[in-house]
Amino acid sequence: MEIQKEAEKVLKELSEALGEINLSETYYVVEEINITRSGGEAKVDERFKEIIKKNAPKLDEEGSFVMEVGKWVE
Amino acid sequence: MDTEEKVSCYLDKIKKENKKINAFIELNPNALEEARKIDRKIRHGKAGKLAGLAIAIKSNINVRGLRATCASKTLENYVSAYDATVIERIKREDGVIIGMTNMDEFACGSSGETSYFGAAQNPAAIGRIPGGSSSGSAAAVAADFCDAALGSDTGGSIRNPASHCGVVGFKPTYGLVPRYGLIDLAMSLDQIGPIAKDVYSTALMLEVIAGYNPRECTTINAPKQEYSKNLSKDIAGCKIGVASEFEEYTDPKIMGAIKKALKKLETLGAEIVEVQLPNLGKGLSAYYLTVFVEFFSATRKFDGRRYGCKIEEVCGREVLRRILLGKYISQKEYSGKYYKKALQFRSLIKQELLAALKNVDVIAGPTVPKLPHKLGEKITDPLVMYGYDVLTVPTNLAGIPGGVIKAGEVEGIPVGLQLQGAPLSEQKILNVMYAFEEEVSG
Repeated sequence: MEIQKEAEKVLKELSEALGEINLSETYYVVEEINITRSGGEAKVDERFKEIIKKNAPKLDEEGSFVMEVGKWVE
Repeated sequence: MDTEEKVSCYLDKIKKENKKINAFIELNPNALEEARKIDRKIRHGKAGKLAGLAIAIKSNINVRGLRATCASKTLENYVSAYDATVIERIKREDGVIIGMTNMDEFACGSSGETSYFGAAQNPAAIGRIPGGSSSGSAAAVAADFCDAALGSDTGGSIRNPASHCGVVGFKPTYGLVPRYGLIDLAMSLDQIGPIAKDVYSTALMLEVIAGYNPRECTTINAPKQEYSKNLSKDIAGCKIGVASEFEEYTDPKIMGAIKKALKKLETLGAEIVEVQLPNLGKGLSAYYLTVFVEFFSATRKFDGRRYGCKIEEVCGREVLRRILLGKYISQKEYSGKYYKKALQFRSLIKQELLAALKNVDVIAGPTVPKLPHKLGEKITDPLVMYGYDVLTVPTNLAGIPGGVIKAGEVEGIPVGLQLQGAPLSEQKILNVMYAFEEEVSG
């Protein structure tokens, strides 16, 4: 609750400091965004999979991820 | 001294002194073995540009096999499964990654104090903050724990600690250095850049990590530059812009040191020209409102399902505050009120800086408006802490490059001179920094 109150104060002060303006928005400063980039050549990196599995909180006997869906949905 | 001996010396020093400085979160257990391989390459005349250099990496950049913790409990045990593009490039040029450095949690901070692993010390002013968010990277360079380091800069996170620790730091043009493998704070503002002991090493690091990455949507396809080879201390006729607005926000003692540095540049043949930046202060609001939204979006993947912990359950106060603010602003009904407005002011700041840079080669001024506070001195009002960034955030909003070099000292504490230039004017900025460094070192 205390953080929530602080956050409200921060938001109020920052937005009030700006005032009004009529300009177009700048999302990215680069002029050309490489949206249609190619993914490059696909390659399998076994070490990647190995480390990712070590990072996982829980795996089953077959090595698949076990996740708590309910907790996440909340 | 060969690479193995050098890395060994650094590791010994870190083992003895890191308890006090707290610059490193983790050391690379393979550093000596990698150094030996590089020594063999050197003997065969096949070594890359960074051969012989020990490089520290901020803990929000992925290095395969080492932990990318972002100095947060959220990712305390997260081991990187791949190398960021900048790391691939450093390894290709035979730099030795010596370890992962401390930082503000998820880069949310300008003091280094929000780290889950405890604040880093300022080796140049013991008892004071090193600045942030790349606190450990700047502290590691200042403490002579490595030759150079990588940091990331979203609103000053390379330049602020470089200034407080008395080292050289550089934030490149947005898009010049690939962000692939950098854990976001705010994707439209983040840039990776070097921190080093001198301008030559900074230029060398920058030329290695810069360059187009076809896999990434915001890298610039600019010609490759050899910044280190093209360094020149001849700045005769160089026009250096100075804005009177800098004085409104800056401690007069710091301004005194900056003015002395400008005098030195004038004696080297540079011309000091006044420029106008009337909306400088508004940059802070535009920056933070943008960061809150982008950071909230970036943290949605930290749900604890596949790795780590759910961020809201374990993060520190500042991270939680930013998540709450970002969530609030992101609600559709408020977008026009805050985020859209922030992006409009971002356009204004960009226009203003680019207009000023049409008449000068670089803009010079202070980096941080205050001296670093004492460690443990609690700053409870977040707006006061955000104020530390007022002079550095405009650079990120405009996407332009900015470098910092030690201008002098105030009460024995380093103060950094910040130089900003037009997009892709890295060489110009580095040359002014180089000329200044040569003049000061005699």
